Amino acid sequence: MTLSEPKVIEKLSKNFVCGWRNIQGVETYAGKSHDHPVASSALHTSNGAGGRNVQMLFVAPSGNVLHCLPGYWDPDGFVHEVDFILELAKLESSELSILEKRDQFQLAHLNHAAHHSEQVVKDSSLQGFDKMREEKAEGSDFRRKTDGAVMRTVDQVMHERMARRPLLNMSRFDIENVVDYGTRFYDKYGDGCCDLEKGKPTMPKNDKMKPGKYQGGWKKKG
Amino acid sequence: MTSIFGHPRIILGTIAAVLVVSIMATVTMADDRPLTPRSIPKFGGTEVVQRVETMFSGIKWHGEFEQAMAQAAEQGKPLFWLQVVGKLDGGL
Repeated sequence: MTLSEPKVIEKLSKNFVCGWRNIQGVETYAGKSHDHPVASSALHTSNGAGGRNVQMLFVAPSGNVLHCLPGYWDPDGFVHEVDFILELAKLESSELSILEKRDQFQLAHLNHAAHHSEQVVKDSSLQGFDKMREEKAEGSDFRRKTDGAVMRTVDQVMHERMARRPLLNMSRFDIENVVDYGTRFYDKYGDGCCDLEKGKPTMPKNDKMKPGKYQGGWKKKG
Repeated sequence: MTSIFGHPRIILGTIAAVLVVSIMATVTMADDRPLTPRSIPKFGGTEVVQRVETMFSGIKWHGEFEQAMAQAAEQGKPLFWLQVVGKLDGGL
């Protein structure tokens, strides 16, 4: 629902050319989800949730990728990122050499992440099932360097991943690696479990179908 | 009735104060606990439909990347390119 917020619409329509495409069944990195009719309720979630199902890319007129916001993003956090991206666009179109631009691009992403508000960081915690996947992943960049715990947040990790991809052209931008975190299956009802390899998502543990709620798509276990 | 520790009310008050301080300290120190994301209002189905319509009327959406990129280059504006599993106007 972020993209339907008036302040977001104003920001995008004024400063960007906008486009979209459906990646379902087209891209290998695309996630899986239950069916959600357009008239189903919109629920709360955290920044970065469903990163394989939604990717918001910001590309300079030259074709170089400025930023990628995966998954849901809170309207306030989104607008904050867009303001930063507009600054990156100025840098990208400046007269500096490409090496200088890349240096400044990297620094800008890291500095911006370091100055994220406490609220944005709080809003960007990994969801339970995504965290479990990262805990199993050796060398996950969601691990804290101090104690190895998977406590780092999507907002921080995304800026770091972008800093490692300074002004790459869209044709060379490895989005499949940029959005590679958490599970491929995203369930808006909560910490759903799933057998991704077999493509048989199941009901979340300790949760029962609620009368009156949309229940399409769940399959029985086993 | 009093004891060597003082009046019962004072003792109860002290215990309560220690409990409050302990709880607050626990909350402050427990930076590993899951954090609650800030939320926008929860929207029902009807409002979701209305908001999707607002999004379409407020923003001109291109459906082809090359076409959108050409527009961006022509206008000197960056491109906002959205990739979704499902349809933007038809649910997932």
